Formats: sequence, C-alpha cells, structure tokens
Amino acid sequence: MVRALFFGFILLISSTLQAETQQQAYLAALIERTNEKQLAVHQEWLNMVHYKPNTFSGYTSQILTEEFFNADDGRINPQAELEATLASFFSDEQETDKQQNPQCRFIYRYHWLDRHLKFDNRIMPRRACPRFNEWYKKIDPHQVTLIFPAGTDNSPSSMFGHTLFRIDRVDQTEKTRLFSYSINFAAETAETNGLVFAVKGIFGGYPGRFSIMPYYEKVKQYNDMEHRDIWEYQLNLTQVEIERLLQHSWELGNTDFAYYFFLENCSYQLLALLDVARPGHQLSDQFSVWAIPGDTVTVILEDEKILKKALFRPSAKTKLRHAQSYLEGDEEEMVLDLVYGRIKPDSAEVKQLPVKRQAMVLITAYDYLQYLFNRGEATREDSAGRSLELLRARNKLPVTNTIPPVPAPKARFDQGHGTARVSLGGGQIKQAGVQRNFTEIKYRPSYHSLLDNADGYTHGAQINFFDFTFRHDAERDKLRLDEFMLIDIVSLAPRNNYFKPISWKVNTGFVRRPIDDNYEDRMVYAVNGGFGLTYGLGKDLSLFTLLDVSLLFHGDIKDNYAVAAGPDVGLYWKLTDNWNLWLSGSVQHYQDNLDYAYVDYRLENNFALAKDLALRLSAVESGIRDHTEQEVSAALHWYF
Amino acid sequence: MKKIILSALVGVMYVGSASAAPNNVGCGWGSMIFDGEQGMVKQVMAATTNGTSGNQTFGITSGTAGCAQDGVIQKYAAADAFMGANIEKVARDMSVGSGEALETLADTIGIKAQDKARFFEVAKANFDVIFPNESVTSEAALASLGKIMSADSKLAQYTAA
Repeated sequence: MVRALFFGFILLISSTLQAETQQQAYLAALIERTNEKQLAVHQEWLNMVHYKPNTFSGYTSQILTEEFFNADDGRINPQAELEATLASFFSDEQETDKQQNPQCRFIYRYHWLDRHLKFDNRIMPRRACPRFNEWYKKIDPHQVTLIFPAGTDNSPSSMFGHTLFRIDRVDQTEKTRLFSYSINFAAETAETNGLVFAVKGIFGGYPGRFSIMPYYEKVKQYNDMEHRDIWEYQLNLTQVEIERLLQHSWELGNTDFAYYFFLENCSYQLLALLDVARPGHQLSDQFSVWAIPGDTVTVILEDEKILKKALFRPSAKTKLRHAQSYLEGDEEEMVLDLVYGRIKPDSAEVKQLPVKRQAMVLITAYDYLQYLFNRGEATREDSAGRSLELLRARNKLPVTNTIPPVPAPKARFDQGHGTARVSLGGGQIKQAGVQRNFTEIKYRPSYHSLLDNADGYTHGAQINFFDFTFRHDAERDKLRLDEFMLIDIVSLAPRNNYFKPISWKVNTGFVRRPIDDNYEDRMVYAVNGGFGLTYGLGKDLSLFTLLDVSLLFHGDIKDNYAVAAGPDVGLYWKLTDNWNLWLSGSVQHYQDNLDYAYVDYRLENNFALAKDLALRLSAVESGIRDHTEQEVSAALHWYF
Repeated sequence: MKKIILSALVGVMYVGSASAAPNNVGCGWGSMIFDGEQGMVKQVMAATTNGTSGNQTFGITSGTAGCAQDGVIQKYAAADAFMGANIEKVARDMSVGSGEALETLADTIGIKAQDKARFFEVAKANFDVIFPNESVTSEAALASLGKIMSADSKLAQYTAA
C-alpha cells in the first residue's frame, strides 16, 4: 500500500516534470518562431503594449501600471515582454473575482499571438475566460459609434470637444441607444478646481484610465449638465475589428496611462485603441504635439468608407431654445410664471389655451425648471413639487408630443473648416497723408475666429492660439513680425428672456502700439479682457457692448506698464450662409504712465469661397486719437 | 427569462437592493425624483478640461461592485439602474406618453415591440399612481409600475413569476 502510494507519487512528479520540460521546450520553440517573424517589433505588438519609439533608440510604453507587463523590464523592452507574455500563457491560474488567468488578463495579446503562432492546445491548454465572456455577452457589441460632445455657447474652449466610443447592442434602435455602454479615457482625479486640473493635467500630474459606463451617464454629463450638443458618428467597423477593440479594452482594464492634457489625452488614446482594432492605419501617429479632440474626429473620418451615419443629439439647452421658438404671444412669459410659481399649472390662464398649446407651455416650463435645477439656479425645495405639478397637468392632456424634434445643424463639425489657417494678403495704409503698401502673411495653428465661417462651430464663439502676423512694408522694405497673439478668446452669447449669459473676451500677446510722442509703433506685450452683453436681432445678427480693460508692458513706458479702460461696441452679422460681417469701435483711455486714448474702428467681411477657403476684406482705422492711420486690406485664408 | 426580470423588479429587488445598499454604486437604487446632482463647478471644469465627472465611472476589469460586474450592469438590475439614473426623464416621458427614456425603460424591462404601445399607454394613464408625490424613489415608482403591469392583460406576462 505504502509502496503503491510512493510509486504513484513518483509517477506524478515525473509526469509533472515531463510536462514542464515539454512546456519549456515548446516555449523555446515559440520564442524562436517569434524571432523569425520579428513579432517583437511588429507594429501591432507595439500598438497593443502601447510602445512608442524613444527619441534615439528603443521603445517605452505609455502605460505606467506594472501589472500590465509580464517582464521586469517590459515597459522598455518589447522583446522581453513578448517572451514573458508567452511564458505566462502556460499558467494554470484559476479565475476569481480579483484574479484572471494571463490568457484572459491579456486576451487580445493571446488571440493575436495565437493567430501568428498557432498555439498547440495540448501543450498550452486553452483557458476559459468566463468573466470576459460574460462581459462581452452583456455588452452585446454590434457597432462602434464615435461620440463627439461639441461646444456650448459662452464656453469657447468647449469647442475643442471631447471624444469617446459607444458600443452599440445588437438589438438596439435609435430610440433605445441610451442603454448602451461607452468607453471613455480620462484623467483619474477628484480635483474639481478647473485651474488646478488644467495645470497638473498639462504636466502629467494625473494618470489616465479607460473606463466603461452606461451611455445615459455621458448624455447626462454632456447634454444636460454641460449643455453640449453631441454628434454621434456610427462607424463602419467589421465584427472582427469590434471584437479586437473590446478584447483590447478588456486587457487595458484598470491600467494607468501617462496622461498629458495636450497630447496623450482622451482623444489620442481613443485613436490608439482604434489603431489596435484596425491594423495598418496608425492614426495616433498623425499627432505629435497636441491632439485636439475635434481634429481627431476629422482624422478618423478621413477614411471615406468609415462613416455609416451621423446623428445629432441636441443638448437640453438647445432643445429648450428650440421649444422657445415655438412659443407665441404671452406663452413665453407664461412659462416663466409657471417656473417661478407665480401661476399654477391648472390656472385659468393656462386652461384658456388650446390643448396643444397648453401641452407645449407646460412641458417647456418643466424643461426650463430642470435646466435651472441642473445649473444650480433652483433648489430642490422650489422645483420638485412644482415640476411634478407641471407633469401632472401635462399628463391630463390627451395629446402626445407637440414640439417637433430639433433639426440637425446644416453642417457637422467635421464638415466645417479646418482648424489651422494660413493667409496671404495685402493692402494700403494711409497715415498723415502718406500712403504705403504692404503685403502680409499670417499663420494660426488653431482653431476658429468669429469671422470664419461658423458651419460646424459654435455660433458667437472664438478661440485662437498662436496667431502670427508677418508684414512686409514696401517703404521699409523688410519683413517683420507685426503681431503674435498667444491666445484670443471671445464669447458673444446673446441674451433673451430665458438665457442671460455674460459675454466676455480675453486675449494676450505681442502687438504694435505707439508708446511715445513720435507715434512710432513699438512691439509691446498686451493683456486685454472685457465683459458685457450681447443681444440678438433674429438669429443671425448680434449686437454687443463690452467694457474692456487692457494692460501694456514695455521697457520704455514709465514704470514699464500702462493701464487702460473703455467701451467696445459693435455688431456681428451673418448676412448669408457665406458672408459674415463685423463692425466695431473701441476706445481705450490710458492712465498715468501713458497719456492718450487709443481707438480702433473696423469693418470686416469674410466671404467663404469653399469649405477651406475664404476671402477677407477689411477697413480699419486705429491709433492714438487724432493721429490714426487708415488701412484697407484683402486676404485669402486657407484652412487645413 | 424576461418574466424573471420584472418579478425581480417588483419583489425580489427590494431584498437585493437592501443587501447591496452599502455598495450600490451604479445601480441608482433609491434615487429620489428631482434630486439629481447640481453642477456648476463640474460643468465649468469639465467643459474646459474634459475631466471625468460621472458618478458611474468603472474600471473595465474592476470585479463586482454593487449591481455591476466589470463595469457592466447585471441584467436583472438594468431597469432599476436606468430608472434610478434617469427618473426625471422617465417621469417626463410617462406624463407625455412617449419619448426616448420611456422607450429605453421598456427595453430594459424586456418589453417586445408589439407591446410597447400598450406599455406607453398604461404608463401615461397611471402617471399619478407611479409618481404619487415628489419624494417617490425610483424603486418605489418601478414597483408601482410592476403592480400596474401585472394587472394588465397584455403586460402581465412581463411581471408574472
């Protein structure tokens, strides 16, 4: 008996040893084959471990989490990582809620390597992955949709957008897409101070991570809380590509990426995910300095076959504005009376309206109250009871929907002008009776000016970065830097009965200004800001009035700086689909260190000749009051 | 299968929600109507920096948390989670008798295409019962809906045990 046990034990050990020897031999053979096929430097391998070439030689992965690597030096050694990954696939570790077998933990690596090496399942048994399978089954992937929350008014920087993926279910319809899952990449932080977040985000102070959450949460965040319209681009991916995308998302799991606000951000990592799913495109390589979400959308859609269909999902605010346009006569005021509790939903005033009009007024009042509540401008105590009363009254009316859906804008973001701009132009300056001709070249890497054709962009919003102007003056016969604006933001948001935004602007950069008695232009550093009001006359004409404050810095000014303030009024008019007109006048009164008033009157026209081409005609009078110069110019703008 | 879902919704869910209460992230259990998050700060931050501000952020392989497994909501909890997170929209749609939130709720309950019209009709007709006051919770509203459905010849099939 003892002897039998002993022999049994020996047999077991020897067979285990034998299996181990066999596995080691097989692993060696596999590694040899990977070398033959040069899999360690295969673009797809580099993509799935998120390796990027170093400046001089070698690679480093953008992933920070150690558990993502099987080899000790896996983060910087694609070859060692490949070998260690293969070795890990022999593991017989059982799956638990916290642990997975490496074949499941690195499920896309496993499938990819299996495809290239054709694993022998007798020596490397294939492990079941119940958690992944369950997850995949519940997501039920059928289609991938690129989600692009675009800009909202009075927040020009929101025009840069954000991107995420939505994974659509097999039996999902356009009416039931709220209950699907979105895959999102974002910086992991509980920081609520936008400035701290921006600063730390720029310098890589937070890790970035992929997460999955129901799409209705994203809709709530972007459509309802941030008032951003959303574009949903249904992508033409094959089932194999979708499977790869999900397998790779799974293996990214809870791993931390290096996150940098400008480049290695949400949109960049989404491209990297797409690069894994669709080998051979390498979209992420097209971005090396910054990746603005809007630009990444354009890059994805450059492949003409990829877009199946685009849908517009208006924000709560856009819907409200739309509903407002259907209200007639006193109804707009009646909605406000209902919202602020001045009248009851069952009051005679409401009841005297035709049933359909009542329905419209009541539901608009409900939506407006929700809007105020989401903005923190109404408390629950004030709004909860009132909201329910509105719905009750609406519920009694024997009609269904009374307000037609919001029509999609004429142009999607990806159909608007390119975000970089180069322009060439020339003109004439007249000063103190002397005329001079000049030619000009301008370059602005990003993003959108008020005068640029607004198709696809937020109306009344401008955000420009690094806007250079070089001018060649015929008289001086030399090319010089005429202006360099670091940043230039303007938000002209029209006010009405329901929405009362404050318009504002801020810009800073190097400009030419006279700072002494001979009125010679000098390069000074200027900071300028303003606040005020904008009113719309119809939807295409906006009138604005701002109070501007500016600061000038130059070594030759007394104390090195000067402060000014003054009014800035004007209008912004979209005369036709292709013609934008701007007319404005401002006066800045300097105090103390500079003693003059600087005026600027301008009339500018932008004619969009094509999506990416425009003609600009301008007439400007500017300078120290009573010593101004007049300038007329024409320029061609090319966007890309 | 579909039957089990709503029966769970009417009765068993109470038990489930109680036991999962300390860790119910993502389920939306017990959220009160008109009690959503208010968010000026978040709004400003997120619009300019694209930071996360969702309260249902899950890592993809995060294991079990509340009614979610690896970031995906368990099937039995789909209606409850959806209702919990979207109660204001569902209430709005029920009062009108149509809309995206109501369509989606019907989907999470498992209502077949041919019975949707009836479901919308019943929901609209019983609005006052489902939302008796402004303190109603999403689970109570769903439980009322379940009871109403069980008394309806067409919709009872989605609730009977």
